[in-house]
Amino acid sequence: MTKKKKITKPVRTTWKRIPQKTGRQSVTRESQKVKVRRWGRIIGFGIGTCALVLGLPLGGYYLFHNSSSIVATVQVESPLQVEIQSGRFLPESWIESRLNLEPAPGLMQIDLIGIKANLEKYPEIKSATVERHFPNVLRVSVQERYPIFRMKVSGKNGRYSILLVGEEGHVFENVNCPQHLLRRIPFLGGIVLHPTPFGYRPIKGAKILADLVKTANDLYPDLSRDWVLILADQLIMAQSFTEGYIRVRSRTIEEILFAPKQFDKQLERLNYILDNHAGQTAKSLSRVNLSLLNQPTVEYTRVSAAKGYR
Amino acid sequence: MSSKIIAGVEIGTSKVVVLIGEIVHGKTLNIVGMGTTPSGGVKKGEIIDFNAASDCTHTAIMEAEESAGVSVEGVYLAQTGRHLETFFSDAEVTVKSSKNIVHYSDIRRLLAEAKRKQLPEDRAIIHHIQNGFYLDEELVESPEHLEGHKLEVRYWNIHGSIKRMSDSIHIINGFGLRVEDLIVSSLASGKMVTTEEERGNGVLVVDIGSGTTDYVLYKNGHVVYTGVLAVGGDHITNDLSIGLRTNSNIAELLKIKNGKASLPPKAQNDRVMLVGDLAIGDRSIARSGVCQIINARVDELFRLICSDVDLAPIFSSNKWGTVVLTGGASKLKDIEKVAENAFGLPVMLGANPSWVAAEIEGPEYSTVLGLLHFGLSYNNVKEFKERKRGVALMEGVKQLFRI
Repeated sequence: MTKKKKITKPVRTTWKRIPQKTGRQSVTRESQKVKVRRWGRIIGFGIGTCALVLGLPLGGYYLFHNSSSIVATVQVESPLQVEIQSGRFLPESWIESRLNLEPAPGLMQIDLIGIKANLEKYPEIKSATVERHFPNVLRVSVQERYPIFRMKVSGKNGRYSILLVGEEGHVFENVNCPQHLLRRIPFLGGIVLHPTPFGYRPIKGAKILADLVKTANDLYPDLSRDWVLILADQLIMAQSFTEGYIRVRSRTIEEILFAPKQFDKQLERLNYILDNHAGQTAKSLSRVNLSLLNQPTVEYTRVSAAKGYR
Repeated sequence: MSSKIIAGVEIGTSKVVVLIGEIVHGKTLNIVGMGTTPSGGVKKGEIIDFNAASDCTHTAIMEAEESAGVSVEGVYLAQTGRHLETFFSDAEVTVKSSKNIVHYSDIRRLLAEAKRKQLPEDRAIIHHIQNGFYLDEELVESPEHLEGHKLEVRYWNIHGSIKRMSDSIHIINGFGLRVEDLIVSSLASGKMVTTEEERGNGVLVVDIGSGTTDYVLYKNGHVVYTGVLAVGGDHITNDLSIGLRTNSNIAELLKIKNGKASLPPKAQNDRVMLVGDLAIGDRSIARSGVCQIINARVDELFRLICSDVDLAPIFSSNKWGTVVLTGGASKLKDIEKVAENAFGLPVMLGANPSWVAAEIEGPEYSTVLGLLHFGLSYNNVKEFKERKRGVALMEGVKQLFRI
């Protein structure tokens, strides 16, 4: 058996067989710079590619499925300051307690309209203005209702309490009005109050009654100072306010009847009557009916029989 | 537009030169950047201090990249030094076809036979340079489909020490670049300073550098002989410093300013200052003395080349047309006169092509320019092959997505 001769291809030894990726490389400053630049480029390209690959689907998902809502807002501004401007009687603390502000609110998160509406629900307050003053001031200005009348109302436990009535018929409790001022205000009677969730329904016709009292206070304060009780029953029960009359009881006259119009002329006549009556000690005025306008009637009683409110 | 950025790097004994070129479509070469630094760690064309040589080379590449504003993709590296050796090889085959028509299989067989010679383990081939085909002892460019009996091929082979070549390759690798091709310096410079016609007529190109002198002989348009001598301009400087008892820096300045390769007339007896600054130690010396030293060394250099070329096995008669001198040391005054005397042939000073910029038209840049020229030729062939394989189609698709 003959051995098969193995034919080998000659191995070409060219310089290209010299390995070019060996660890035998001199690290010079320039080569370091080049390596840093190259790695920077590779890393930058990698980050850019990753950002593109991840960013596109995530961005698309965010755009089409964004159902998130703001859970909380972190405030970086200074604490909120509330400045309150009130009228003569309502204390600032009373108003502030009714602002219902959230703890540590941000100025831009405050509902100005809500606060204004909330304050104006209280009958003590005629109107309220709420303003933002940057950076951190909330300014609340309140216009109060001043009492024209007071009412004596019996409570559920049988005890009486005093309520105040404003010019437009709003009924409210006395918050801070001093007693010496309250004593000058006449009582209002002959009224049935209708309770509501926020107090009582405003009294109809109260504006006419208030007009009478204000006109008397302005023109003849000596006369009105003696008025003790104003009864509105005959005014309210009339078919219209122009047909009824107002009854006033004073310390000197048992009953004065006023028509619900031309109060200045009626008061002038009353003043005339009282002037003419002055100096008469034997008899006293028991009833003056001014509701007939041009034809007032006057009733007298003897002094001993007079029943004025003291 | 498909473009590739390549660099030609010559790590010389006196300086490192880097030229950056942009090859457009594998056909056009634009030179876009240059960097040069004084060399270090190189002696007689060979690296003796790896770190120092790396430092200089990397600085030059960095400078070139910064001047070009681009990053290099591949390097064409010049190779010189005493480690380079050459040999001539030939092979012949009988044409197998019954009609004596040369087929591609015959050519392939012939080329394999010609490259069969084994080298020692520590050597590697740099160039197999084909000197043409001979069909029935007649020179033909391409024998395929021609009729004949005996097909012959001749090769000029250049090989070098793997260790020496690794040194220079790894310096480039240290910068993060890959060496695309190693090119012997004489081939690179020879290509630049001669025309095709001159190479056809026969020309000897002598590239005189600082540490080495490379030469290449062209005949019938082919490279038929190459060689390296470890003698260069530095040796002239060294001779001057010894002969005049001065240091090499002064000797170098003296050589450049007042040196002449030819001997002055005997009557002429002018003197030159050694340093020229008239400070203490400066003295006047006879110019003829300087020229004699230079002449002796230059003449010796050319005679060494003459004797080496005469030894070439295929070239016994001095029938080449001209001698062209290039390289930094060829700027020495009257060097061509000495060369003419030594070679007995007309001698010209080499000039780079007219299309190169003024800064790089000097003979010291002919090697790096030649490297870029080789890069252009290599990429031209590569692109042609890739187009044939369909790689260009993929490149075309890539082009679509380029901004």
